[in-house]
Amino acid sequence: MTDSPNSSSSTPSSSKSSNAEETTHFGYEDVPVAEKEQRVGEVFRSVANRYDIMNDVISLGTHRLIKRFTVELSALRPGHRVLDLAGGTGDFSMRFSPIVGDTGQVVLADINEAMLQVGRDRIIDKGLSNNITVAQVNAEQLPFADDSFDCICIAYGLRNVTNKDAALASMRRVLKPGGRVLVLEFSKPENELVSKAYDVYSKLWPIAGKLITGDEDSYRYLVESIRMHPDQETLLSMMEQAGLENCKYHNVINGVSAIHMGFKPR
Amino acid sequence: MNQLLGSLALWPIEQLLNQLLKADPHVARRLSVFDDKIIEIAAVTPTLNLLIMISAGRVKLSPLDSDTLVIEPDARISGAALDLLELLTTPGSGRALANPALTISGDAQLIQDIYHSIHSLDLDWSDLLAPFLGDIVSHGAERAVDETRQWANEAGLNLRHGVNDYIKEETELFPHPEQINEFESSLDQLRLRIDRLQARSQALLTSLD
Repeated sequence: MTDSPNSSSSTPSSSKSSNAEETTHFGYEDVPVAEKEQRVGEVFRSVANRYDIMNDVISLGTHRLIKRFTVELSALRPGHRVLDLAGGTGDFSMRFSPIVGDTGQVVLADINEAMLQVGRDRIIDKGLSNNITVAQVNAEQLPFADDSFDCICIAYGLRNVTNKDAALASMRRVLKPGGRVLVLEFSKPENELVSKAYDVYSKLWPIAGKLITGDEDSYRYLVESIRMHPDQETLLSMMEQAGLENCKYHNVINGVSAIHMGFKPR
Repeated sequence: MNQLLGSLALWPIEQLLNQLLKADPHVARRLSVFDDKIIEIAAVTPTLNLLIMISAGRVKLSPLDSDTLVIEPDARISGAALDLLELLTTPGSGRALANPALTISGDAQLIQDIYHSIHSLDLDWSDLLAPFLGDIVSHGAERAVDETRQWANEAGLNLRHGVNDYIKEETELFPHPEQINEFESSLDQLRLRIDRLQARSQALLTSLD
């Protein structure tokens, strides 16, 4: 039995097969839990070099607006410390860097070394490496001290994490009291017509993936993983269960994406 | 979607403001007094929100309200959009701030200080914009703005006089001030006569007694 997108179980991403091996979803496919991380890693190694171009193509450029809005919600100020988790090619880190300034710090963190390499190179090319640190980390076990960050942003990354509850709990731990988590992720459109149009449109993504990156399977995984991701209310509940408070979300483009926000209690 | 587009619309204004601050150290110095301050401007007709965050010599603009961002502004001013705009266009005697249609909450002194600072800057906009737009365009723009402002003032004055004349002379909806003065004078005369008559009547009654 695979996890449905509306489930809010404490281990939303795993189930047991008849031989007691835990499985989880990799798109629509059931895979052993231990294998998911490797499979996701292969996807992102494959797409890393063309990741940003594909973002522009499949979102028709709207991802830039959505990211701008997310940065607004971060309410970052000079001197703040921010963790750009699953930050990959560094889009958000490059936006955060001038805001937090020389007295602040941005940590670009991702589990995938290929994405981080692209991100690191982009940051160096832009001359922004003064206040950006790059780190390869596992979101489920963040290697940072408690109460480290004013803000943690995970953009289009949570759905790739095997154990989302563990990741949310880890984020809560490393947040400063009063600090905020922002989770930007694909979600469920509110309007049925939009939902249908989106379904049809997303069927083109694997085709675009094949044409631009030569990798159709990775973009098929993208589409499937979006379908398997918890909806807005379920993710909200997961954040509250992880110990975050004052949680809310903003639907973007009718819920095609959603930005969830939660705070660590003071 | 409105929030996305609002954010996008403010971006060039924010960039321009920050470029101007970088280009004019005098203005940047004046602004540094307000470092780490957050001011929220909420227009109610039409409904528009603007958060101004000042930090490290830079200005950050956001169309989101403080509730959405979950932050506490240092000061908040709200009112009709035209009343708020008048704050920018009316030079700083502070009377525009005393408009009862505006609501100020939080650090009212901060709002006053910013208001007076903006009006005391005496910015030469064409010099500031010239590096970006070129001399000809920026001076032309400044001249166009000045001429438009002058035209608007003259038109407003002419309109006031025209309406005044129309009401009083043409339609005679209200009496002319001279007519009112004449009437008042007649009333005074009548009052005096009544007083004199009363005095004479009293004298006559006294003599009969």
